[in-house]
Amino acid sequence: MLFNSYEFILVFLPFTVVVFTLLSRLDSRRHSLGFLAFVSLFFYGWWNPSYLILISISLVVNYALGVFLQSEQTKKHWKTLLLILGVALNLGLLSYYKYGGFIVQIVNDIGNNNIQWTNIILPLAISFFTFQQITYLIDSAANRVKHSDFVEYIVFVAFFPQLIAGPIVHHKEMMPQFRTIELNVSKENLQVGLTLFIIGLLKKVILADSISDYVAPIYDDAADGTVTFFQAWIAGVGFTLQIYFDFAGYSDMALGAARMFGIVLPMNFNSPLKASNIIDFWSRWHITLTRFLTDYIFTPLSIKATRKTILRKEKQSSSTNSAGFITCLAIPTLVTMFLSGLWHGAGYQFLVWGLLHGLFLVTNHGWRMMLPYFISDKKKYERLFRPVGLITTLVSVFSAMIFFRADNLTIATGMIASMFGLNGITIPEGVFVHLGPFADLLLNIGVGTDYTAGSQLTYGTLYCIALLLLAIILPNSLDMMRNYNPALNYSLKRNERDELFFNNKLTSLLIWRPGRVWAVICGAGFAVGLMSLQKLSVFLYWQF
Amino acid sequence: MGSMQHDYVLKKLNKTFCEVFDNDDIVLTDNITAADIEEWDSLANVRLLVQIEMDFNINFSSTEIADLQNVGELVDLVISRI
Repeated sequence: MLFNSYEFILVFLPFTVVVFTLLSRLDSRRHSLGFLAFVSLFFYGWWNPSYLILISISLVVNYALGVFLQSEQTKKHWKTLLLILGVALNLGLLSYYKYGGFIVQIVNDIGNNNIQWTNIILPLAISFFTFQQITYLIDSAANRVKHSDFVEYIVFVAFFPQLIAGPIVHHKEMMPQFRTIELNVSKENLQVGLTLFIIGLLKKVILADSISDYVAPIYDDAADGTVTFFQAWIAGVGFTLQIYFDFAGYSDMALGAARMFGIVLPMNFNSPLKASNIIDFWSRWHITLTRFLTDYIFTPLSIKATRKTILRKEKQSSSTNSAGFITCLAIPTLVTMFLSGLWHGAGYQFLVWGLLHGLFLVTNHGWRMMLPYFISDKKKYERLFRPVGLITTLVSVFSAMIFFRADNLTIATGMIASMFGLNGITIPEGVFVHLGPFADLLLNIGVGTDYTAGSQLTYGTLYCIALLLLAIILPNSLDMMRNYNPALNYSLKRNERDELFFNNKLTSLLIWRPGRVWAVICGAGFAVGLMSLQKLSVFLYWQF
Repeated sequence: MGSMQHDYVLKKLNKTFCEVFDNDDIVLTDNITAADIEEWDSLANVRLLVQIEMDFNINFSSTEIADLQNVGELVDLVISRI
């Protein structure tokens, strides 16, 4: 059941909210939680009932492992062994479904073999519930999970607003909320939840889905031959914006749906295109995945190397900077982002996407370290170079996104080549004839013409510019809802620039407050969103 | 007694923070989180914690590091070790 479908919006969500509200009158935690567990599994099973068996086995096995890991009677070496076994089981299940075909492809490519592999359909949400349960096992082994019963555990993993595409939550941030679930029902929660849900719906069905009409044909063209300079840019910018509003929309809808049950989920998306460097970008895009990868892969790898390097420095005064840079930063970062790429998809192009972002991050860190040697006035530097940083970050993200979307590496590299002008610069004949005197000028500097559709290019460009401005200039949904605790870990300080944005009468109207005005706005938005639902389109992150 | 120790550790940590982040304007309080200090990214976090390990002659585990929410918790973690 998609969040952007009639059955979810008109039947499932209202029904569950109403029953949940009525149940809360019984003042029974068991009933409220049990109901959420039941409807969450129903939600999952709606898509394909046979995969209910899979998720149920996964839930039971991980819960049982958790019980042993949490017990004080379990000896330490047993805990380590059980934890390794548990993590291996989870990753094994994910690998079988997600990477079986890819591993066979790699073996075939390397050895020129021709092993056959029947593609299995990837069970929905498996990448997400795998990671979520791994954090649970690690937290259990580290004594950070107080005992919870099985129903709580089901809701923790499978709570339907967060099950399919995150946020990936920690036990300790959810449990206190589940413990008082029967008291969570309030008018304010419902209002805040509905508003977030509607904002998310509009982002998805109005913004993300409409730009995809201009993006998809270019990737289809690219599969048949080369694309032009401008097409490549629309492909890069347009797809970035498509996935941006798709994921932003999903994340808002997840926050909103959860909030209707009084649950505040952690922030997962915070205007990433406003980032002035790539390090900042990753602290704003898919925040809970970054948190997972940082905590469980980057930090453990980096801290060992850093300890060694600092010890070595104390002993000998000679500089070990470059070696330290490679072992403490470059390798851990590249490994982390490689795995991030692999998590996003089973294909070479996802690995390249991950490695590219790894290289961007390493470059960014290297630049930061070198900076003090060149620049003395840090504040002045930041003021002057902020626009450069913004643009560099955007171009890096746009070009890497081509790998994310293209069907294979050959297509992606061809598109990148076009994007950076290696296949020449041409504009459609249809646009060219309207340029008047500028046409000659363009011809003189070597810009030719081609026979792609002029209207596609013109509208595509306008769409990209409009959506990019929306993403960069306007405050996000969390900023608008900031007086009502929209998400865990959302900090006003973090969005200082948006703070300034609200500092006048006109823009401060954008701050949400319960009342008639916003009720009318939300109602209208809901109607528009609902009418735009005709074509069903899957969220991009649901495939992971 | 406990709060004196807390203040002492906080003060000492403040010095480490200023050194690692190369920023003398940092004034630590218990509620400060990574989101409040611009330079505090995942790499800086590693360098910071290793430097604290050296300064206090203690060791942190990865799970302890992942668990830290704010400076106050860091102070408590350090105190529990010395």
